[in-house]
Amino acid sequence: MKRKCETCTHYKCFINKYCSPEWKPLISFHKTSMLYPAGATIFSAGDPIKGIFQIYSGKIKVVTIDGGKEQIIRLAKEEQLLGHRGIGKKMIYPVTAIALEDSEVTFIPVDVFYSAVKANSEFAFHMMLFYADELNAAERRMKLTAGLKAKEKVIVALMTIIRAFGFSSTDTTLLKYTPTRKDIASLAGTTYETMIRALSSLEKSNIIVQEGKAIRVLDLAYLEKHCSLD
Amino acid sequence: MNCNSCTNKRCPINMYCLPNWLEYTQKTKSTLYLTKNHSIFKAGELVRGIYILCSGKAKVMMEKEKCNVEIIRLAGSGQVLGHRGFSEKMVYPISAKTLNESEIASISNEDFFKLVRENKDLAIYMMMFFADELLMSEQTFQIYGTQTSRAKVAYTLVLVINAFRYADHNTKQIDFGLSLHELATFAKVSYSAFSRVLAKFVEEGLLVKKTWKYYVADEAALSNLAGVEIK
Repeated sequence: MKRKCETCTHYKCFINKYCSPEWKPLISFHKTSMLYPAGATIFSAGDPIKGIFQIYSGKIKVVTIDGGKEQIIRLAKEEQLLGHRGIGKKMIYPVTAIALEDSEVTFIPVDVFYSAVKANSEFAFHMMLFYADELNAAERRMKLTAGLKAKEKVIVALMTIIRAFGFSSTDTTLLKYTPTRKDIASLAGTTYETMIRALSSLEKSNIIVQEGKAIRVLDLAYLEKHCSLD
Repeated sequence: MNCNSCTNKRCPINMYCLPNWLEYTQKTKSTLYLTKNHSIFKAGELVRGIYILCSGKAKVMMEKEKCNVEIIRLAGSGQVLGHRGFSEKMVYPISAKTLNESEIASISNEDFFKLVRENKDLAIYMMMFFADELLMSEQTFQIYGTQTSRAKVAYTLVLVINAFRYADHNTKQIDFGLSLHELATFAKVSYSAFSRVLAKFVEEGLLVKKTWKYYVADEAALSNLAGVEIK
């Protein structure tokens, strides 16, 4: 399946937003698209970098695996870039990307990506700012993992999910996408049991409601106020 | 330092801007001459622009918890400072201080963005620079959190060399810039552990010590142990 960049309606996509009209057919020509079922690995830590990925549809988690323990460091959805970590001197992925649900991901070879960045100054400029934001987010996350209590870590994880995927368009307090409880624990950097206890405690205080696998947020202001990520 | 005649090959402005933009930078930048231990910017301040260390040394610090300030980066001549402030909020998440007398060029946000937009090579360099900083930051966190004292000290030494270069390139004398106490804090090991590992490195032939000065004897082994290249 190959979609054309020149007719794409994903206006937040960096290629669509910042590349000149002449460049879009060229990128379309070189890119390839792949469907990944939920749970499939898009790339693994240690693999050589051959290009950059753009998510067309679906949801992806980016994880580091240390001693068998998985830590989610980013949640990404459609119109976002993937695989940018590691582009640089070593050209080896430091992280692994796994599809959370069925996802369509476009691959752009690294030489085409570099040429596009070189030829489109706005693209280069916004890629720089994107990396700057990623650097800030990474350092905030690393700063956090040291000093937070379990409940605070779970609040940060919930806010990360809300900021990544938002709320359902029909039911505005229900999370649009709730990762598995195991993934919420990986995102919070706590054990599964600790995360379950923290969710129950938030539920008792009427901050959230657990509706089966889904989570409904009753008091977003409380989560925002207690989210140390900001 | 005059941008038109600058010979600093580490400065991205000098290396990647076209001559007319060097002239523009020379006219629009402001130059700060700061003494040792002088604040360049503080966490929480609004980002006014980007800084280039024309000469001197600086340390970048992050407040982890109250009363616990950690050095997260060292910067030497020609390197960029304050780039961590570029985010949606445009507020510095970190503070920077000089380690010795330094000459610092300050380029306003507006002028810096203009330079990046108009000089393709600078835009690519800055993108790759941020990409490397991101990678390095996560690697640092992992090394300091999980590795042995040996790996932490080797990694710290490579960061020092990459920031400050050698005091003498021929003899490969390390230009520490910081006291060994501060370096031990940077390496997240105790001072006694830091000294012990340095002594062990001398014994193993990685370093040579002569009258309180340290020289790198085996770059490849040090770099291998640190997991980072010496640039």
